[in-house]
Amino acid sequence: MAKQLPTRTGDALPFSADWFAELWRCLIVMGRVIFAVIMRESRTRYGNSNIGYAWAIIDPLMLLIVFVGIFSILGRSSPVGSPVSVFFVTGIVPLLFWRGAVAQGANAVGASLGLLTYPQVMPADIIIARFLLECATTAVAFLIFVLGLYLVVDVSPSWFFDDPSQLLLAMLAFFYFTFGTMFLSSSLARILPVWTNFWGYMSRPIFLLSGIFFTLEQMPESVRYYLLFNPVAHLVEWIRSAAIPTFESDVYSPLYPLAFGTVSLIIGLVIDRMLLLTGDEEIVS
Amino acid sequence: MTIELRNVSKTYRSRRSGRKTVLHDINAIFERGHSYGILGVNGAGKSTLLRILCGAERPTFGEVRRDVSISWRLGFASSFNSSLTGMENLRFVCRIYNADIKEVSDFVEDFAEIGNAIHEPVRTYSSGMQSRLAFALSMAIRFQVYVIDESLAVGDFKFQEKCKAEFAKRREEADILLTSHMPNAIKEYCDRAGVVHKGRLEMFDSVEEATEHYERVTR
Repeated sequence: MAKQLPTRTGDALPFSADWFAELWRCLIVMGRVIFAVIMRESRTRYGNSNIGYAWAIIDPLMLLIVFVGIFSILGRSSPVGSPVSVFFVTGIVPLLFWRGAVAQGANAVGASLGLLTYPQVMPADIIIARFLLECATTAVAFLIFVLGLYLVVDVSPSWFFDDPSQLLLAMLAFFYFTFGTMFLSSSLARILPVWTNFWGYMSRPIFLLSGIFFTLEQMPESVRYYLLFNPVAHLVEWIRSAAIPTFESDVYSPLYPLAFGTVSLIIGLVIDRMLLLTGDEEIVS
Repeated sequence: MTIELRNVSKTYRSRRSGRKTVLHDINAIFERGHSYGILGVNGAGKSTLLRILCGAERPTFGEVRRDVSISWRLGFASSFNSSLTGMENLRFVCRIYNADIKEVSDFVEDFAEIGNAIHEPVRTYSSGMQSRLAFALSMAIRFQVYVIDESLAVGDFKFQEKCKAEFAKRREEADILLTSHMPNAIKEYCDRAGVVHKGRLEMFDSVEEATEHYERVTR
């Protein structure tokens, strides 16, 4: 039976060979922990029911039906020149992913206090694991939507892949932004227990103001000025520009959401580190 | 040297009662080849000391050095996810400690004697079953030091005998760090002991001396 190896930490000089060896060992442990948490969370993410993962489809699907229904009752056409369903899927799927990830971040630590009994499990591992799981779930959900629209209502998949390299870039930016805000969300929840409720209320208006049923481009200048403060609206516009062949917008800025995500990530990391060093958390949680 | 604490202090902050220093400037060395008991009344800081020893928590000041593998803190507080089955929890622990799932589950099934319950969610377990699973699991993953909070009194008499026999078998390779508020519980497993009182730790070379001191300060 494999014996556990001793752990020795903190002796090596920074940037020496020993230091890098130690860093490498730590990264291996971190990888193992993240993998283990992913395996564990994937069983508990949607409770214990086996149809749990169907929610990843049903949730956006219901929103899609509602929005398409409203648009057809009002007799409105898609503002991007594509089928209405394409317009909504490119908004709903990323936004639900982001909203869900931030909510998942908020209770990442509180729901995993048992895990933190194991010395090698750190809060950041849980957040990274949850993030990766959300990414994978969303990617699968998106592909199912593309395929489903093709099979059910004969919407060609080419509506979604106008400029693949731009789309990949936009998605990576969106993932990065989501990770940053998710990390901040988890740190905020650790110092302000009310954050979780606050996000529950705040996320809905933000969600609607992020461009589900409009594009920034079609908005009058005066309204757009305010909408542009919302970093997610930039990302949705970017994704739609890259995905939809008949839509090209130049009112979004790729830098703003990236900067927003970076600042969020740094604040989140600083709070995490401070809690780790002071150990104040046990009292709060 | 096994585990060394140097000037370790731990302070918690609470919104209601302000700062509270749980451990004051602790210096101690836990040597390989000895099992240690830690005596202290409830709330003396025993659990905090163990969390710092095994690395689940950092000291506010001071440093901890260790050159052995240390188990997670075994005790009443469960580290299991109650909605997952015992087996799923076992797999998780194997993954984070890089242990072979097959070997560990064979050992645990034999040692914990909880039968098919291992495939049921942990929330359906009795507290005795939970601790048996936790103990068996930690025994399967071969640590050099076992950190046990609040005595080994888990499960029934038979299971306790089994734990004792297993530790006796491993005397050469595995040491125990055990806390209790009862000196008798410590005598059975440990040859050295310390007393935590009002946030300070005093170490003794024998359990008898520690017991005397403990009885003097708590009376």
